[in-house]
Amino acid sequence: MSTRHSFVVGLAFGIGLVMAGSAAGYHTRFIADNCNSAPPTPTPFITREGSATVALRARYEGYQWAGGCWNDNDRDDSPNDPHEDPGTGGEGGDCSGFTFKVWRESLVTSDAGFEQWGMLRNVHGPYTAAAFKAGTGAPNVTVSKASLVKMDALASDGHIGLIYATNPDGTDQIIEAKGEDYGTNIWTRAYRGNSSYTGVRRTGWSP
Amino acid sequence: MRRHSLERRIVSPLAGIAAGFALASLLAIVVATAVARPSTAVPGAVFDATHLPPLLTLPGERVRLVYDVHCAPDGIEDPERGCAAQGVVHIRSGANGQFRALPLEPSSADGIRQLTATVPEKIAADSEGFEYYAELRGADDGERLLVPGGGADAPHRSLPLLDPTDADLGRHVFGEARRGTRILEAPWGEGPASVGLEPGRTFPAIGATAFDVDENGSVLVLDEAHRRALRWNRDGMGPATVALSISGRLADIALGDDGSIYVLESVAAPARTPVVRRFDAAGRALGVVETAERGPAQLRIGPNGPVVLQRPSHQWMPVGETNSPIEPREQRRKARAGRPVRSGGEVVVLRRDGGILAALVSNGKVQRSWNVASDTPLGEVQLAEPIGRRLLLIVRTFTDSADEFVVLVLDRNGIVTQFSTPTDEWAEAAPLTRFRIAGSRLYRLGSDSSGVFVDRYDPGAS
Amino acid sequence: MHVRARGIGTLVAIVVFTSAGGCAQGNSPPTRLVDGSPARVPTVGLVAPKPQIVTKAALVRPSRAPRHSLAGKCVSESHHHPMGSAVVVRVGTTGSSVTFRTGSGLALVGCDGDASGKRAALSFCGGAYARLERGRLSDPRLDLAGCTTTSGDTVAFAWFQPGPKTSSVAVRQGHYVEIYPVVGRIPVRISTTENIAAQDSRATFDVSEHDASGALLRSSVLEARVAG
Repeated sequence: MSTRHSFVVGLAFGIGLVMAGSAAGYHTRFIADNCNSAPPTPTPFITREGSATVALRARYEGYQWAGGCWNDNDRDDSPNDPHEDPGTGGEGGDCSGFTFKVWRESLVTSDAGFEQWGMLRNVHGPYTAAAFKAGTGAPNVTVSKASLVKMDALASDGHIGLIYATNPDGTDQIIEAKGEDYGTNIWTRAYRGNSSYTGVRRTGWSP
Repeated sequence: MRRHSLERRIVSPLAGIAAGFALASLLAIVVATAVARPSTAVPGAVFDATHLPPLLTLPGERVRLVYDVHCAPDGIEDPERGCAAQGVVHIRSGANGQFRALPLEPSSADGIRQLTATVPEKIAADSEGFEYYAELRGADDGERLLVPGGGADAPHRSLPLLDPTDADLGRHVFGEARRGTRILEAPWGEGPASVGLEPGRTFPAIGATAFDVDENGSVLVLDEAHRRALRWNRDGMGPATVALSISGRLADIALGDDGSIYVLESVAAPARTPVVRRFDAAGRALGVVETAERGPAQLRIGPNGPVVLQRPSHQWMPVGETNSPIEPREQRRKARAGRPVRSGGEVVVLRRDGGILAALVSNGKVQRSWNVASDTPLGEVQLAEPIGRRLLLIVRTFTDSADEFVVLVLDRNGIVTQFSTPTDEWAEAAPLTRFRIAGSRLYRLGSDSSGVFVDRYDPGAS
Repeated sequence: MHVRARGIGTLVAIVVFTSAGGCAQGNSPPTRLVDGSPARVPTVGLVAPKPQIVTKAALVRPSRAPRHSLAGKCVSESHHHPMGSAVVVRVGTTGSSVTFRTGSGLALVGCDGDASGKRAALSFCGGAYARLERGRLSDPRLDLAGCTTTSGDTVAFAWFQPGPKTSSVAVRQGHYVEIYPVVGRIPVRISTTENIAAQDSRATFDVSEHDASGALLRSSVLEARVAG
């Protein structure tokens, strides 16, 4: 093999190494470039109306496993994330992180008070979907599914979504962070009647 | 000689690797910089509304039109500092004539800001029903929202049920569900006869999200994880594979009368609405059209082609006729409250507290209607299909720990047939895709931990 | 989930720090497990810092699990069926747990218990569910929302996937090492009150794996975050 040939082989190998490394170590700059760890703003009260606003501002944003940071530009700024990797640094909450911020909960599970988290504050909160389903933590209680109203939630062992509206055919419009291939949006779902799902309500809403 | 050999074997390749590394890294940085966009940190304005239209009413009822209106100003992140909205409802008796304006009054319920109006008694009691649409405006008379989206061109239609047949389900007894005849099953997996699960690590898995059955009894199951459909013939032989260029993601599927395959995607490209794709029987792409609204919920075949139940308007809109797509604006114009059925006419259903109202409608008039009551909560209506002058109605019934589907055949006297089926939804499917009817037979899509299956029932209606 | 190997130098540093810390602070390891039973030293000592406490681990056939036992309650409350799979019940110094694979083999179900487990009315304070990809766990499903010690400190649970030759998983718990025997060839549900970052809803577990003779196979740090 000539010197030039061996250099070219090495060059190709080097390029291949970087590409393989990039694929294995996918990492967007979204969290690093945009998100913060600012403290929340304690809030004396919350309304379902206010939480609907928080949820609607997350609509059309991305989804990030273990995530909780998004902007409001109506697009997923880190599309095609590898599935369920907390290290990908992408935009969006996951289903439970999204619910935590919409419900404006505290990181302290014994505290049922109200904390307003900034959109760009990267926070997930201590609850998984399973924890919400069990009504774990002071702010979360399980309630009868037939009684659920807007901004209440339906939670299964692995997913949680918030009721946005009820439909004439008995389904609900659910606003949820559904997955990397879905992002955060509103879809028609039949969670309410599904026995895998439990009704969950945030405590302390103001009328 | 030795030095040249060393250079060839070690130094040159190492230099090449280093150069390759540097070149690829530089390229990655350049590309990343080029595609990076500054993100918006300022919260945008919010203006949205939800409304549950009283598609069907009972005599003597006071009818209120209620709109949940969500309004928040630009630039203020505190969500409790929302903005007040205002609006007016344009309403008319029947389906003709001038609309008159009714102001919407502010109110609230459960901490949600609402705008409401009571339908004047004379209009609410009109035997022709009434039509209406709302015009909502955000803060400072800014953004305008029509509900439904077609406005005066395709308003909401409310029909009175002057003499509905009562059907009382009482309290549902769980545990007596009927399984049906298994006509096909396919395991989860990656093989040619297996159905895939969408990648991901959470519960529940998503797979085999929809199916349809043609008039010959051939069954098509959407294996979206593998970007294909699987077809079994009426004798259960199969599956044959039909590759489809789809994104999948809780998609719905419907078989056209000419053998076309339609797929409704549920996830849209940024700033677009979801699409309906058309393929021939072999899977060749024939066309694609965007839905008019952001939240299409269900895809079916009407008398003239595919129709989609679209939200937030809650209207059925045709997306194709005579093999030509219908563009979004025209979809809106042709929107209807009821699902147009192949046999003509429409089916309208409304789930309300304690029950369901259902009607067969023709030429804008209720031909037959039912008032189904239940002591056990009712969930979604999975299927409402006329069979002659009867109605096949399938609805989920549930408690906090159990659920089943209730299959009803209703005639002018009440319940002709009633039985329940298990829900069998180990994997998540599209929400309203669990049942199909072909001829006089009923088909149910189900899944368990081993795979997907289709069971067939004979509801006994003719 | 992020598991990173620790170098031998780090291991030595931790051993030194732990030894020095233990002597300097005079902390003694717990004498009881959360169910009140005595905390025992392992019969085969691990190549790991001391003192070492071995947790209880048992494989239970679900058909033989009394309804009111930890295994029986977890299976019935989770509404998932282990089918032919055995159920692993663990009792440690900070928490107890039940883990089983569902009959399909596609999912792992866990129930987490805290100090209240020793009381007559058994109840779980948390749980976890995970899909398995080709039989392997891809997220440790950290749970730190509902379980506490009797003094109110948060107890965090996570699954750790042991290697094929691992007989014991050892978790550094500050001034002692807690040993989890590997049983049933399913991920090991470990718990801790150390290294929990509530602000970030994450926990870090300092783990080593050992063969049947106690020899060190590998060390790693499991960084787990609440997700899903």
